[in-house]
Parts: sequence; C-alpha cells; structure tokens
Amino acid sequence: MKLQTRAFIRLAFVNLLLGLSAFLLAAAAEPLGLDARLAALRYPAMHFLTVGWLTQLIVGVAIWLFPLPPQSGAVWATPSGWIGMGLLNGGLVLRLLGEVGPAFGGSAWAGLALMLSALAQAIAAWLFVALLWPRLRPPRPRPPAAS
Amino acid sequence: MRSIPSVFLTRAATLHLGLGFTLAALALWAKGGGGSSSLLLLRESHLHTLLVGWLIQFAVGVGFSIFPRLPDGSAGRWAKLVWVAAGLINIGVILGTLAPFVGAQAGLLAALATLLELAALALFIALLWPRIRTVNPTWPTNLPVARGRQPPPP
Repeated sequence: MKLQTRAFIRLAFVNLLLGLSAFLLAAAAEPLGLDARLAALRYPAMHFLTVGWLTQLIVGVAIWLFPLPPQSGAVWATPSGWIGMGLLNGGLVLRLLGEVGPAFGGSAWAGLALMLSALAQAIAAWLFVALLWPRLRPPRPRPPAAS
Repeated sequence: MRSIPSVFLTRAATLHLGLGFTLAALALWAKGGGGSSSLLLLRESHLHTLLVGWLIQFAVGVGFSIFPRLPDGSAGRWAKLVWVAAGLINIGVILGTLAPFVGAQAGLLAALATLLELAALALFIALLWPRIRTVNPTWPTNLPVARGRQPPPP
C-alpha cells in the first residue's frame, strides 16, 4: 500500500471519528441540556461522514486497487492526489467553521468560509476524477497461449 | 479492470462525482451569500447525483471488476443486461438531478427517476448474485492488487 493510499484511508478514519463525534454533540445538545448552538454541527457532521469518510475512503482504495498503467506518463497523478486531499479536508474544516460560525458570533466571515469550502471541494472532486480516470481502463488483451 | 461494463460504470460514477460536487458547490456558494437563492434547489440534485450516481454506481462497477467470474469463465447468460442496467441508472440519475427544477412535475419526475434506478439495481443484483462466491478460501486471488502473487504458505 503506497503512502498516498495510506494517507487517504487514515484521513478517512479521522473524518469518521470527527463526523460521529459531531453528530453526537448535535444530537445530545438538547436532551443533555448542552449548548443548543451545537445543533449547528448537524450538516458538517453529515459531510464529514459522506465526503470525508466515504468518498475519501473510496478514492484511497481505488488508487490502490487500480494502479496506473505502466508508462502512462501521468506524472501529475500523485501531486494532484495530494492537492485534492488537502483541498477536500480543508474544505470540510471550512464548512464546519462556516456552519457553526453564525451561532457563535462569526457571521461576518462564515459566508466567506462556506464559499471557499465550496470552491475547495469542487476542485478536489475534479482532481479526483482526473486521478481515477486513467486507472479505470479496459482490460489488456491477453497474449496468445503458447502452443 | 477486468471488464468493459465495469470501466463504463466506474468512469460514469467518477463523472457524477465531479458533477455532484460542482452542484453542491453552487448551492453552498449561494448559502454563503454569493449567488442567487434559486441555486439552493441544487441541494436535492447533488444528493441524488452523489448518492446514486457516484457512490452506488462506483460500488457496483468495482463489484463487476473484482467479483469472481462464473466457473465456465463467462459472466453468465444475461451478461448483456448489464448495459441495460447501466443505461437505466444513468438516465435515472440525470432525471433525478433535474427533478427539482421542473416545478409542479418535480415529484412525478423524482418518482420516475427512482423507479429507473430501482430497476437498474435489481438487474445489477441479479447479475452479481451468482458471482458472490468463494474461489480460494485462503487467498483473495481475484483482487487486482493480489494477482500474480503467490498464496502464503499454509
């Protein structure tokens, strides 16, 4: 398993923990008498789970399962994976800040955080498309059997 | 990858990944105050595109690539139905993505989209069902990453 795959999968697990913790806080805020503003964590929690956990895990496993063809010339593939990973996780953190910001007096910058999060995650997704596309290729023709 | 259908399904799924995140970004941009509020309708569209078009379609495509072939080496009598299912799921996703924008007919179009996706998934399951089997109980030789390696000593 290469370094990038390991990083994708480990970050996916971190996102899983973050997502479940955020869900717990959002769900327990009211019944346990915690700060009601924690309910704002609901949307970021869903995105930590679906984007940070599921999508990131799938991309990490896919680049492991489906290696680049030899001599593919795709020298950009590895850097684009790292950049996409950074943008995706940075975008998720910005989403968290943007969603909970207004509840904690951060209305001035929350909108900007949401817009930057949108941009970062969209760019990350298209980088992942470029990363996966050359790996998802038709089977190679089998050499003729020796007689 | 081991078959043309799995290449089609996984590539279509990655396109839905990019498209779905773009729709989500437009909705989030509007939520952040940077665009028309009508863009918020894209929230439903991006859910459909990413859940069915990306996650489910990619999982099915990988299943067609890595699950063991049938003993005779074929993919079964009905293998060509995979193309019907691939068409149905992608038409369903496109209709489901457009549904929030058709006004009064939105519910009808969403229902039609879900029906097409359900039919596609039923076909996928029927085609994959016989391939969910044990080939070698001690070594996952069907995984592309494991092909060509020797099994560990017993």
